[in-house]
Amino acid sequence: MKRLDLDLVVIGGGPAGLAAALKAKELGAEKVLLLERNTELGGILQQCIHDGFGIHRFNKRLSGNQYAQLFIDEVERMDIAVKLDTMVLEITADKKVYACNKHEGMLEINSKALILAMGCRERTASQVLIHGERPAGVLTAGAVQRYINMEGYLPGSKAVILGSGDIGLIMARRMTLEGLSVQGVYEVMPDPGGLTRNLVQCLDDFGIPLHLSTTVTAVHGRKRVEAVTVAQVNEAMSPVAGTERQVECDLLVLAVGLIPENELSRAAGVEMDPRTGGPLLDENFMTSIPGIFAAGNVAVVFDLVDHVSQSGEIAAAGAVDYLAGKPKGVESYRPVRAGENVSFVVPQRLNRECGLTTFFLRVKKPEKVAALSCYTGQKQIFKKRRRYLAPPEMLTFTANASGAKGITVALEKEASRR
Amino acid sequence: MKKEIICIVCPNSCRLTVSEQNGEIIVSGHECRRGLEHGISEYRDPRRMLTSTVAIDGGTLPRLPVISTAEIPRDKLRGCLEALYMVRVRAPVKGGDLIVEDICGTGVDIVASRSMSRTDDPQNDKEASG
Amino acid sequence: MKKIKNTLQKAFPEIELSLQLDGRGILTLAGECTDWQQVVAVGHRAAKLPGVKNVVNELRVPGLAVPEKDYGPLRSRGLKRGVVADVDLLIIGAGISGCAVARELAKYRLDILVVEMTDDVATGATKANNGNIHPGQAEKPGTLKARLNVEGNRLYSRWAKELDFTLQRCGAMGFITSTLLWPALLHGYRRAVKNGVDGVQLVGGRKAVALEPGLERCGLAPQVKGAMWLPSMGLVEPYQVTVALAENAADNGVRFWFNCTVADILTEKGIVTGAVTTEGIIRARTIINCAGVHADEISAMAGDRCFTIHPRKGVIAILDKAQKPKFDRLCEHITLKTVKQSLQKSHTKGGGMCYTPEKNILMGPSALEIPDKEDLSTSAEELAYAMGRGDETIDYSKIIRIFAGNRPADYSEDFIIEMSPVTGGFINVSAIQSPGLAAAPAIAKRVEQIVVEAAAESGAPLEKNPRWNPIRRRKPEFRHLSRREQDALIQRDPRYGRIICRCETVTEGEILEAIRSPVPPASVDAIKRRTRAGMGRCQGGFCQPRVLELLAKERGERWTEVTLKGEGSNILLRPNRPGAGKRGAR
Repeated sequence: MKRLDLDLVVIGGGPAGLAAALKAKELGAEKVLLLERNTELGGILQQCIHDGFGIHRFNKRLSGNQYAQLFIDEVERMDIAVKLDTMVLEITADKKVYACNKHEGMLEINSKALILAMGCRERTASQVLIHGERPAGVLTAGAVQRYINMEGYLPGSKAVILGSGDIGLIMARRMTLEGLSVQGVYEVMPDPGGLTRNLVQCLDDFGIPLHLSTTVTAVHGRKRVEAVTVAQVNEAMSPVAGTERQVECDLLVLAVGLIPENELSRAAGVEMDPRTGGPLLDENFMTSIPGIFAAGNVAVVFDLVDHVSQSGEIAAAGAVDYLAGKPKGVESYRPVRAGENVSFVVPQRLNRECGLTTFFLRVKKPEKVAALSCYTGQKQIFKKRRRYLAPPEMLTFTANASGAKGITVALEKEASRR
Repeated sequence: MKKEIICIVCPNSCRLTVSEQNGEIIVSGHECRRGLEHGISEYRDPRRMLTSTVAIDGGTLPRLPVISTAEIPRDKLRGCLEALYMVRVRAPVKGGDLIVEDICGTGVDIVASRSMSRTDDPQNDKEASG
Repeated sequence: MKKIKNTLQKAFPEIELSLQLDGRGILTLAGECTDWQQVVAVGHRAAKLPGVKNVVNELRVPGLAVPEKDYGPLRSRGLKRGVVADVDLLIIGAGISGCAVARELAKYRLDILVVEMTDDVATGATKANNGNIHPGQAEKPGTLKARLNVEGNRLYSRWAKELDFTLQRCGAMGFITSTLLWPALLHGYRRAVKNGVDGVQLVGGRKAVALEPGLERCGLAPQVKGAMWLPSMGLVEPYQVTVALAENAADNGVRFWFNCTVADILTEKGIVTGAVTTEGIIRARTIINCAGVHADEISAMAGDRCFTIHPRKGVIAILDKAQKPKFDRLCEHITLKTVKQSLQKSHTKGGGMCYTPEKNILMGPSALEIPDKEDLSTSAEELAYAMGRGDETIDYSKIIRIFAGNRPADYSEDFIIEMSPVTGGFINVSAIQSPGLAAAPAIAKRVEQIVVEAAAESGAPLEKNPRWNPIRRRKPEFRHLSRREQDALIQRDPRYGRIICRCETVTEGEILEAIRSPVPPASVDAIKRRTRAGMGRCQGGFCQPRVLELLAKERGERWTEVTLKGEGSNILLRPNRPGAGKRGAR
């Protein structure tokens, strides 16, 4: 078994891992290694050929590939060590990494710090309790995207899409452009999950109908999908009897949510937050195990790649500080509380001397105007008026949150009405 | 002619009504100046970015993703796509490489949106063994 | 006969029944029922009457179409192709029974062919059960099921050794927390003893807690008053057992033809001479019917209409491995409620909660009588039933897969394993429902005996196959090796260094080895059953394209030819090509 000693190992070469490795190198980390299970860097971005990436970071509407390429070129230029086609099988609480590839066999890597950037996976048909038969032609949006954009094959000719998040909308357009006929997009919630821009440019441009408060309840067809049953749902999200109808199709595309891939983290004993599906994090995106950091969709499912990269950089800066032996007094964390109309906040806890801290959060329910506020104890440390808030759109702000008291982040309604 | 347009300038998603009277474009339903401008341009000359893939020989993947360098008139998208499906390139390709110049007379170029090495490039294997 | 008619008519006065009873005690029922459940109820009732050996149920429900396979065109196709094989022994069906029988009889100098209508072994009831190697305490004493279950359970240890599959003798325990329930425990114990169950014991509370540490963990320990301990309970992956049997059979000369449906059985003077299949006519001196839910149709083709299969669907839910089983053994908390449940008709209750050898919790199967043998759909109601029969704290978000299988039940609710008294050379191995998996080794032995005796009677006793080798070795399974062993394996064969299925840690080497099996898998699902690739929490979301690529490459197929589960289930329809974008932008 080959043994390696490193300062920092980044697990995952998608947008979070790429940004983390680059930032760490830039901040002076010496022995950095980036591990990627795929045969190339870029992660899921390599199948995202559509534009709209990098608006915040580069003020441009890049395609996923273009966004990834900028980082990949930089990783090459900075001469960061990368192992491709290398799968991490296990990480331990004392930051040992077991990984394997074809050329070297099993690697036992001892690292002083780790950044977890494994990304997320898609929810499947059984997980959203779609019943009926189990024929060919039921695929997640990501799998369809890979088949069409990277492998060059079409997995159907007549598609129904479940889920109106941006991924579902993007695939509606993509499939239409490839000659599939998209019968409709079905959304269990009363509001669309994706951006208006995508509703207009992916659905309206092509006359694809969007059916809200409607879901797919069953799949028909024993060999290949022949039809699906759709039904309206009530406020409790249960199908309403009598509203069922069959929609003919040979492909059901599922865009029904993402789950952070934290199997490695859990096995190492990292403490998890059931609300985000990711680890409990501090202002440096450090997990409950000192020296193990999380970035990107492992930490929490983001909606913008810009934020994913940003989280990678936060974790990298934290890891470099950790390597330099600069712990910010980890003796006791202060909790970050999700206040009024906030479903979760990352980071979930802060050191006393956390300084300038970037927060990421989602609202619980849509709101036209509210004041995004942050308090340490009773003291307001941040306040900004925000418009058109909705759960699919993540909010972020930066504030100096040092202090002794607990933190509360809230979206206050009355304060903003004027 | 009257057109209903949903504004995409900001998340407010105003529902605009755009019509033309005596050569003048009239927009209603907008709440800001940018919305007004958006309504006029969507009415006159709606444009979209074009992203798709072209066939690539000898590359690590069979398809190469491409993107337009600027927005293309919406009614020309289909013609451009058809043209792109006829394109075949050879690896290696660098991100930004010109794939089609002035596609379908739109004045817009199509470029590679990523780099792709040759499948037999020893570089591919070398990286794995680091 | 009159008595039978009177009893049935009294029980179901609203149905106009017409009955026929033959000399063997086969009762044929005809008439019109109000619904399918009634069709089944009449059949069950009739089969219990004295003088009735089994029931052919022709009862129908007006307005309810019972799908029947149209063998006509398949038969014409086969006849047109002419004779394509001439064998000693033709086995119909490559489920656990067909493969077990094939492997057992490969001991003899016999030319054996197994034909299977689907694309792989273990695609019917075999793949969709809970993998329990039951001890045999639950079966009615005196039945064939009870005898073969206990015997089969015993033989599994040898099978596991010879065929190198995973068998976990986890043991099972039914425990009580109220002394009032001692009679229930005692009743079960007596039945187990009567059936000859190995090692069955009644134990006190303290011993029960010592045997099952999970009782302590979940805080029940102080309340446990006693238990029935069944050490012979075992767990297997049913498809793993079947693949092992098939591979060993193939190594010993048995041939397998997949995608081959039997459309007719040929007989001359009351003796089988062969079968018409979709591949052509196969001449055979002996035919063994292991056709699962279709066994009644095959038996009828052979001129022996002596039972009806009424499919009983079972829905199963598999949970994420992150949800750990509460108990180390298979445990059932016997309460007043469960006793009441078991007093209801036992063959409709379905299974409870258990786990697989890879430690996924398995919920179900449910049990629902259905008219359509090929209906493997699941419904919210059936899932709720499967989920409700165990630990109530399990939440639906832990489910990673829901699927169904149809038990091939007859009305006697017992196995039918016999040489047909009507058609010479035709052997039924039919109505093999639970505990068919546990009984499989004993079923194979019993069939062996029937074939050997028939050969001896005919004056041409069977000769042993001198080259028969009962040993089959499994291929390396990366996930079960230590890090050091994994490293050594990759150094020896680098294909094991590339992980294809992330969730279950399945390597390229394992998939390629599976494809090169003597009984090669032809579809993505077949690869899944053999390697676990795609069986994890992402359900193939990441690895399906890679598996598809490997299958296409190794089998010399185009990507668009690769199927999910056999003919007609192609995953990809066509390549992107010029002319795409027909609907285009406006």
